[in-house]
Amino acid sequence: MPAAARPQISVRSVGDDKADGVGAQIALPRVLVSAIRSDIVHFVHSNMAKNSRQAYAVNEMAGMQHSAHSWGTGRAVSRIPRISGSGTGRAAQGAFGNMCRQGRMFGPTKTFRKWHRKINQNQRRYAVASALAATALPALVQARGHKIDEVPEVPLVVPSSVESISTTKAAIGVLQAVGAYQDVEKAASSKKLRAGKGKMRNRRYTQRRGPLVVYNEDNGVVGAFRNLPGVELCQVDRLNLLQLAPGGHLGRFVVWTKAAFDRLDEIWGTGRGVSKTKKNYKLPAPMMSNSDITRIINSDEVQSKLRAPVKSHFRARRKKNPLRNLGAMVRLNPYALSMRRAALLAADRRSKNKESKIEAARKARTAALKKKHAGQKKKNYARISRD
Amino acid sequence: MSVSPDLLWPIVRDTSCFLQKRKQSGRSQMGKAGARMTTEPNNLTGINSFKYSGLANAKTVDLIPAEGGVTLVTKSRKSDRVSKPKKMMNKVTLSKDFRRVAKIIVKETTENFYRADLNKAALAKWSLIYKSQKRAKKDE
Repeated sequence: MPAAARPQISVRSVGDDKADGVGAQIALPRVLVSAIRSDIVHFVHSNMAKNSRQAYAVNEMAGMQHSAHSWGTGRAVSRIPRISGSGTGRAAQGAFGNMCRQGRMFGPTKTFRKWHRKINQNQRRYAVASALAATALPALVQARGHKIDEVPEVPLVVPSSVESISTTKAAIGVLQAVGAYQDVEKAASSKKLRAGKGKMRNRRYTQRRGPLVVYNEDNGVVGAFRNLPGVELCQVDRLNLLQLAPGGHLGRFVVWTKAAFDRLDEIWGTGRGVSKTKKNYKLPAPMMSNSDITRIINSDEVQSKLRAPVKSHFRARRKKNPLRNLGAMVRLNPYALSMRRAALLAADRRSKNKESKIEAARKARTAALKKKHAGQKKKNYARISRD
Repeated sequence: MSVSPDLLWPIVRDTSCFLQKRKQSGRSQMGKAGARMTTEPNNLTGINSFKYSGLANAKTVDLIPAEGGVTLVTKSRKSDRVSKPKKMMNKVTLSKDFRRVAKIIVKETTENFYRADLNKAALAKWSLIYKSQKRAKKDE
């Protein structure tokens, strides 16, 4: 990425507008444009964090300073070694086992545990480069929790004269002038008693981290800034991943002095050029030079090669039973319509036939009955009227 | 320094001080995942998703309740403002009546070709803010 294409960062005034370098434009150093690899940072950080550990272990003789022996079988007791001797409650009690009271623990912790981790140099440098790049992105710094709403620019560069201030009062003035004091205040107000046993183990309080001040030459900076809550200091040559990505999380808020910022290209190289201080080191090449996938997709080059999207308007039809639904039946068998018609007509004919037959039969029956009982009517009348 | 939203989003989506994760509750149709919300500024709905992300996106819309109205906050489109947190946001205080503010919201999101996909959510938020302010006034 040619230096000409890189954005310009201006050195911000911290009160004295005529201080050396105020308003100067510096091209963004190549490190701050490295690939952001949170996975590498996480890996390196978690291993680096192990390097300041102190060994702990139980006493190697703990629980074993007895002449206890197992009583063996046949005495109606379990087989763990039992304390020898008599005349005291301790006698015959179980000893040595991890399950025994006063016994040695399972797997006694040893001092020769591997406490520290070696990390490959290139990985370490990759992680620091990534972490530095993340400090240049306001979104990531905000996401990490820093208050940078009042900061005029990220990365924040202040004149090198800051390196010579010696009073904390002046240091506060510098941070306030540059909008970074909000973050310090946040750290100050976040001081709380640690939850858990750590508070009795010399880790009494916890607080948030504030800005990291990176300088080139300590002419008083360290003494001035170190007492401010949350503020940490770091020399450019010795950037520490544990400070750049605390907790393995990218995006520490960094305040650069101009001298330190100018040195970044020299220390890390310019991507094309090899680093001057790290032997044969070249900054890692990102996997994608243009990571804006949305823009790539919407670009003319890509869009012109795409075919039209296939939009299927097919919608599944609800299945209709042809045996119940004439329309569905006709769709399958068009002749069904005429079959149905014929059937209906036949049924109609049949019913009409039946009716006429029934009519005829009824008439015949009535006539027959009438004939059968023809004389009876007169006989009945004669019977009734006979006194 | 501007970096594509596509690069920022995977980093910010699960590592952020604003992220609020909740356990699964009720019959959320999210399987075993609970709600994923954010308290980040510039997020219109507070949902942790790429569309609404206030950190990842270069263009965002947000409505913040203000005295008697609302502040419409949008991210500047100017390329040199991207790395300047103090100057990055455009803030407009709208304290007119409901319809006028709604019109302005539509203008600033859709007709501007700024973030037409946030139009609906912005109008919904304005309705809610307006309703809450009316209620507050009533309680007075």
